Amino acid sequence: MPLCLESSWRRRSLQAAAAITAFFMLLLCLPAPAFAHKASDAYLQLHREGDTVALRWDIALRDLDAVLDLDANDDRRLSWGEVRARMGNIRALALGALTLQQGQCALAEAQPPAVEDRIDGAYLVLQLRGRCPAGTALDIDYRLFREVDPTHRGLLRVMADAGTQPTVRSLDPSAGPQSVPWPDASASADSSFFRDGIHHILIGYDHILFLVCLLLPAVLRRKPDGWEPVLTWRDAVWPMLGIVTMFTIAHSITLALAGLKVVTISPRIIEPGIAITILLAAVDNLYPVLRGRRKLFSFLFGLIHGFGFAGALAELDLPLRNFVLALLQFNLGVEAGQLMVVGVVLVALLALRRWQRYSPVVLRGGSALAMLVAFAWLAERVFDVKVLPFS
Amino acid sequence: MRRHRGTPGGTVLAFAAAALLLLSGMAGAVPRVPAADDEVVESLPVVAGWTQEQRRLRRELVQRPGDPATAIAAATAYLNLAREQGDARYAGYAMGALQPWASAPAAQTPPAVLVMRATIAQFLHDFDGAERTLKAALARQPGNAQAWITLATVLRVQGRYTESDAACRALGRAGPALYGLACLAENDALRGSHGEARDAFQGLLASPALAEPAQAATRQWLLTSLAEVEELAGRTAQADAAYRAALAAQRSGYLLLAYSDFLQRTGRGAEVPTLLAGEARSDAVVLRLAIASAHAKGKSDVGGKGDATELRERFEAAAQRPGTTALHAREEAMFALDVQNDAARALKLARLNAQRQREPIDLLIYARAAVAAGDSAARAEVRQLMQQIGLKDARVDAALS
Repeated sequence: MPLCLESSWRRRSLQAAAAITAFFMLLLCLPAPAFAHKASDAYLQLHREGDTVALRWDIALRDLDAVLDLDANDDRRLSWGEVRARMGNIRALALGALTLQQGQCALAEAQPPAVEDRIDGAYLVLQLRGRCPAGTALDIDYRLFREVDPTHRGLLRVMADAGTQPTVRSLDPSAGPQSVPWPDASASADSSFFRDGIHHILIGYDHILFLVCLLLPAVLRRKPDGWEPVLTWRDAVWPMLGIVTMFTIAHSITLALAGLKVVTISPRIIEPGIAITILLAAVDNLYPVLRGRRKLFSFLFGLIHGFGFAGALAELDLPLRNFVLALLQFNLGVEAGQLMVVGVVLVALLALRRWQRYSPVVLRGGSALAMLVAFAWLAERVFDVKVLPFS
Repeated sequence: MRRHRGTPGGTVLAFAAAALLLLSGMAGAVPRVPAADDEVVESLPVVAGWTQEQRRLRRELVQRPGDPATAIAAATAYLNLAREQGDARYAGYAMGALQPWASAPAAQTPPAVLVMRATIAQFLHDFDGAERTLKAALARQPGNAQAWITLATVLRVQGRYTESDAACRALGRAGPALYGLACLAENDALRGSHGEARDAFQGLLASPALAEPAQAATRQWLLTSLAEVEELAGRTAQADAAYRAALAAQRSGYLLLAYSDFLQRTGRGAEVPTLLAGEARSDAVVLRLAIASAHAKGKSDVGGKGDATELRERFEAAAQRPGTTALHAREEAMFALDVQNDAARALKLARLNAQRQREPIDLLIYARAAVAAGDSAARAEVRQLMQQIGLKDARVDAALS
């Protein structure tokens, strides 16, 4: 239990204090836990175009006030006039604490100072520009607030040409000069989230089973007296493409909504929901419960599966910066994995379609098996038990 | 072009357009140039006399560089501001006041400076750094009661009760008896000896000298500790009574948060906003308000609620600095579980948090997240961790059963 009673340094000595009252004395500062906002950060966005460097530098007004006493009238409110009156000191403080390319890069203000309101307070925005030798890397020596706050950091984002991934660094004011490689267009996108997407669909047996349930009847045509094989591969591929596209669009939407935290639905609802979609798709192969509206239902079911993908996404610790790009890569990975599954299964089924027992064995048997598995998953996910060795 | 109302195609287009709008909104904001000089652009923390105090501290730091008493006075003032405002930047300033010794070896740093540095490190959740610094200070000054009480706390927070006991006993020898006794009683309670701990706190509270108005802070501290003993023992009514007595003695930030959590847990979340009215909007305070409002409005969590949105943005801003997730993991886990209803994420954060902090509140969120996520392996992890550190807590048991 923490509590700051009175700091001990005020007392001449603990022994003397203890002598006054042997039992208790308000002299110990009981340690309190941290329930704090973020620490002091400044934000530096640096763009390079040829030998021109543009830097946008956001510095918290609270930090500037602590060093420069900006609050001239002591009313604990900073007016724009109070800030503007001290711009000379602010510029000197900031520019004196930043050295680029070993001093061969002098920055000057390109636009008048401005303000950006961030979640932890207002920031002064300096927009600077200078001609700098590009060199092979950015050499940056960042020293802002080194004397007053060793926990301060400059969060640097270096951007070169459009479309390249920015390089991100956290600059410690007492760490000395740092060399930051210029972002490289050839190594732009980090492909690991793409791979995560592929991986997720390939090990996500429930998504694969759902796709297989949709594919089983694709090489056949429903006739009043039963199923008959399609004549050419085109008759199977085109309707399939429509169904898979609907599924893809739908799950992309919900994956984006859930990934961006616009809509959140508990996995306790989504996971059983996915099992139900498989169950329905499998039942439809035996008895047309979806009444031929497979595209519409692929879309609706896709919405549910998208939330399932988002659950996997949450475990990946996506970078907050470039979140949208990472999300897109993950989604493209899911689509690529899905395309592989659909391609392989469709080719196999096309080869089997003229087999006389395709309908009883592959379609009916496969769907029945899928129903059983989906039912087991549903039970597992609703009652939180483990039945199958895979999930 | 003909509109296909109600077809999947139309729905898809509408959704796609909404998603695109959303993505374009993620781009960075354009800074504004205030229109007039009298426009207020920022409000500074309002603490009586702080402007003068801050100027005096800074002037003295410049006039007497390397003077331990001046540096410690400044660091203490800044750390207190960090606590009151819930703003970690002031803890950074506190560290800044101790800069003259930043690169000096521990043997050449005044022990009082080391203890202050450890106190700031503990505030910033650097428990290993705090422990190391305190041990260096105590090696040179074994009678430093402040160092012992801080060490006992750092060890207790990490679930190292036996080592914490040793520090408590040293505290009892170095400083006033009350601190050593209360320190041991806290550890006893965590280990499940609720009766002994209760007797110890009630015994200390019975001292006539504590009735003096000047002792309100001590009374509040002991009563809050007593309330925590009753919570560990699962005695809700007695915990409530002790919390109320503590509030009557004196309000403190820690007490208000502990009582808020108690109210939320016992189905009285509606009382939380009144309790916390007027407190500085630290992450912890906004978190309690967001949880109370999420429960009040039923469990739906489609964005747009003020406190929840603000807190989410704060966590996102903090996450821009690399390596800070662990520092906020307790609060973020509570947010994920009780506001966002995202048990999987809550469990991940609670697990990460428990690597660093093992107070009852940390084990409780871990257990609740494990249960909510339906993860039986995680439930076993919590039980195992409880056993490993020797923590007995009726709330965790109830959550896991």
